[in-house]
Amino acid sequence: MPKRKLDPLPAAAFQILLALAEGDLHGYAIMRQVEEQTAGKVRLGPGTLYSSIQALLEEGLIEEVDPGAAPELSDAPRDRRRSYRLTGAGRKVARTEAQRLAGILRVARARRILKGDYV
Amino acid sequence: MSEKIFACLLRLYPARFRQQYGAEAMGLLRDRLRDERGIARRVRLWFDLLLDFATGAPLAYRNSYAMVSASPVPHGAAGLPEFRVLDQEPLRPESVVLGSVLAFGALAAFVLVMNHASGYHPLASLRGLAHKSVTQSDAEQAAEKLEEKVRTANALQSCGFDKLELHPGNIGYVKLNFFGEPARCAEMADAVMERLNDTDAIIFDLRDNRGGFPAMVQLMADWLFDHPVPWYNPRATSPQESVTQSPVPGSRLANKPVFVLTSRRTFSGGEHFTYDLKTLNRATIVGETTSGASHGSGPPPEGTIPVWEGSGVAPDVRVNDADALATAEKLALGAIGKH
Repeated sequence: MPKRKLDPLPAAAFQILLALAEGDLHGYAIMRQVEEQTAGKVRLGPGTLYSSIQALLEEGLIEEVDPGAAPELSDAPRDRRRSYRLTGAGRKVARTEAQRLAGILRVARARRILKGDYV
Repeated sequence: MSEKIFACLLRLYPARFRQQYGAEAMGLLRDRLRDERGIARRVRLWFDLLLDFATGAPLAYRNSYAMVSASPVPHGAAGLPEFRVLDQEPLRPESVVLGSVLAFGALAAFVLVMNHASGYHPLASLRGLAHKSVTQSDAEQAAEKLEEKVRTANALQSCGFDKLELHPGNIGYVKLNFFGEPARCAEMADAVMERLNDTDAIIFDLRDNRGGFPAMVQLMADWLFDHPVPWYNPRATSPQESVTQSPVPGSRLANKPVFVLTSRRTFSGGEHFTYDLKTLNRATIVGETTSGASHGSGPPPEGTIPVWEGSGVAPDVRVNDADALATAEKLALGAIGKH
């Protein structure tokens, strides 16, 4: 199925893809990871988080990790929560989106929108 | 507390979303509640949740949840509340019955309110009157019968009776906008006149009367006399004089003061009623001179005797049509000795 809901890729979905790029995570961990990678600017609430996860699942960009086959999770004892993993397609979509943003960024630099050299 | 509020919020999400993620979402909230303490962080948490609801709920509704059935749904995992969804169960018969009863009850309440809400409901006022007068059981039965006859305002209005009210001082007020066809309306007219038996004075408001059937004009006048009186009909082609069919059995109207309200709009049959009662000295005419059309809009037929054609019927008490009712009520109170 061609991507409809995720084209263009919403910011939340992109953040989730980026968060999962480093390894499998469950919902709350994704939320924390996104918070961390945006320096606290984006805190995904449960509605946005799980709706985005569902959309990503439906588009095949992420997949559910087989429960029980996730021993590397840190707080395992009380964990029957589902974890998610980036698929090949998901990685490709994330890369495309990052390249698109990089293109925009280049233009912004050339037009001197971004002052200084901190980006 | 926070969890309960959030659970309510969750109910606004699609059922399949709750089924799939309800437990996890609650878990996530618990984690955040555990990790984020202090008033400022809690406020921020709730701000997040509300903002999240605004953006997340539309997203949730856009998903198809097509794969949901394929994956197992955690029910009551780790003691979390289960999100059982009512709207996915078939409607139970009890629910249908309860719904019908409630709907019927609401309808009944509505009908009741509509019948008793306004003080000047056309029939409510005179209905009370009928009950007051009842002393014997057969009279009660008669009243019941009468009640049926005069049941709906619609039926009344279809026969020209726009209003039937009891005004202060026990004055019966009848606003008649046309004289209906006797075959259809005679029973209704009789019922109205019978109702007036228990009043002390009668006001016929013909200010908006546009005429009608001469036979009905006479039928109503029949009630107002205790013996036959000459009754002039401008449309009768023979010079032979007709008389009223008085007394009407059951009529107690013969001695009650009668007032007729007129305006320059009062037309044809309305003028007929006014003219005859005036010339017979049976009623006091209050208002304006009538329009002067004894035969509707056309010329009078051959052989008839136009009396008020063109000139109209002049009132006994001349007032603006807007003041006619108040004036007549004052006069009526005077006539029945209730100043």
